Amino acid sequence: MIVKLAARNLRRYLRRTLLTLTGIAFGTALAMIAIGLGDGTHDMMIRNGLQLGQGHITIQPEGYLQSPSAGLFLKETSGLLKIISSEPEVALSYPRVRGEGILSSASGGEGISFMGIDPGIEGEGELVLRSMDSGEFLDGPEGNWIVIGKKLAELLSLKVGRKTVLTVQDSQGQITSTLLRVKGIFHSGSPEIDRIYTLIPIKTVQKTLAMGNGVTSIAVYLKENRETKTVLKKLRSSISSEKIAVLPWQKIQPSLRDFVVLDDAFGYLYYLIILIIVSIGVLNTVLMSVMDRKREIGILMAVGMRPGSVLRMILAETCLIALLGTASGLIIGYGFHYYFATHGLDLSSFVGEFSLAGTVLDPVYYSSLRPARIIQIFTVIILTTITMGIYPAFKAARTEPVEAMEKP
Amino acid sequence: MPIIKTEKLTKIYRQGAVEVVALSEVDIQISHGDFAVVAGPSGSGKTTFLNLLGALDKPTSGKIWLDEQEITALSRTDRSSLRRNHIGFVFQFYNLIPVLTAYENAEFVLLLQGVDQVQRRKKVLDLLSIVGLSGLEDRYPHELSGGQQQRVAIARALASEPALVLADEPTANLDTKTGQELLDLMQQLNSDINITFLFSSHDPEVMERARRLIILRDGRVVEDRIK
Repeated sequence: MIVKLAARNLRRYLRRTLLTLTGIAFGTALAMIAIGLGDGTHDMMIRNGLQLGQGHITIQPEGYLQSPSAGLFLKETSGLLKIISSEPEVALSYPRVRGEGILSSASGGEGISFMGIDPGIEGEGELVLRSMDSGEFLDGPEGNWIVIGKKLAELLSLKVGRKTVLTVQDSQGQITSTLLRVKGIFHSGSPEIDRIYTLIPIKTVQKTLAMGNGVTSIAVYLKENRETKTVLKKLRSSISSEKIAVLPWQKIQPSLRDFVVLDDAFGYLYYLIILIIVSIGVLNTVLMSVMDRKREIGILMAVGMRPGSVLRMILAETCLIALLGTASGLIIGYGFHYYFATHGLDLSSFVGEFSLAGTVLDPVYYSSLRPARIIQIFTVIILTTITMGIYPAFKAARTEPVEAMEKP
Repeated sequence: MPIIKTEKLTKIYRQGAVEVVALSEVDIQISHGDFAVVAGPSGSGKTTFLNLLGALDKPTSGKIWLDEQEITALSRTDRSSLRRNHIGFVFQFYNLIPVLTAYENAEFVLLLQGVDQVQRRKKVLDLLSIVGLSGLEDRYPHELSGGQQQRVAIARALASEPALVLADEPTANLDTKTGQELLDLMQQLNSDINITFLFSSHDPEVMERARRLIILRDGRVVEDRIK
């Protein structure tokens, strides 16, 4: 009976009900769009950042993070790779040799960061190379080839096929050089990355650094970023060596982590603002509705409705509005999310590709909403809306029939 | 044994620093089956008196007994239960619930009482038939005339089979003919089912028909006579 009365009250004040529903639906849809695009951007930042970096989880010698040096490397990797691949959450894992050095040409020298990779297992698709502007990608683990960024090529006046010299400190601490030939020139979207980031066949790097078959790290890529903590725990338990560090990407790329946390905080602030706007709207409508119906509420109580039942009736009205408004908002919001997830939000006319916090941001933003997020939005908006109905409901329950039914 | 008994019933309204005495030390007894009217000029305390007897309001001092139960000290929730189960109300402005149909308005108190659906349906249809509204069950209050709305209000007041029906100026908003029809109906219910009716009114027709006339002036009973 209470629900029936509540539903009819909502139908009777249709315009007011529709306005409130629209407000809740709009807020819900807006929250879904904002959170979807926010999460999608984070996913993109993390994905691109991890491609440039060392995966979701990095396995490297203990102390390498604090003091990277070619003298610190993992001598044996097959056992580690076997442990890693046994985890079902793991998508891929790549042995890599990273380091820093100076790349020289006839035009001068530039400090660079290099990564020795095995193109047989690690193709260009998994790295954040937007496109090869000229030349080709590496085609094997051996050969004196180097793939460099567009900016570096400009600085050193290098073209495909030209020679260049890489000077590094090897694992013994000796300064050594190797002659490389430019295999390809890529374009990542970030001038900073294009200037510093280079790729060399892994065996060439191992030979140059005199580290045998050793690697400086194994980059572990997971199917889902949210599995990082779980897999990290499992790998730390399986690889119980004091000489090996198993680190999450947040440790390897603290600037990316900080940016994601900061951006999340702003996202939640935005979410809070939406909630406050929706809450004020709901509170205003329900309170006005209670005050407008003071006489009716007085009648209900005069004929014997208990204060508690009046309270439940108003809360039922709020619940119905909340459910209908949030459900409508979810449908509208999901429509936008679906569009942005498939077509993306193209901001290329406002902003190009740029790098931030050690990662690259595309100008096309894709929405990403996990079911848990949708449930979270639904629950938070429903609960907030219902909470806003509590004060008006108590106010209604405190109605004195005699005062409420005074002559109209 | 009276159905209603009051002892030094007093109600004082405070409007800022000003005190308005609406009722002053009213002692009265209403018997089962009475068909009584409380009359008096505007502001004499008629509505206040009925509101107190109906547990819609609390007195400033004094006591009220309904069927020997003292009701002045009851909590809000207990007063709700009392109104639901023992008292029927008919108001001057009908006071139907606008979102409910005639049937649902009459059914409302039975729903509050938890009466099962089969019994509710039988009772409500019977009551609507008694008050002459058969066929109009699905009409909303705004689709009914004033007289029809007041009939629904009477059906609602009788639904819980109350010992007492309090009717606050029930004919004030009706034309003479409709008012007379309603009084006929209430008189008939009073004689057939022995429901106690207590009216507040200054309608001569109501005063004429009442078997007992209580006249209030300035919150005091100045006349109480059985005709």
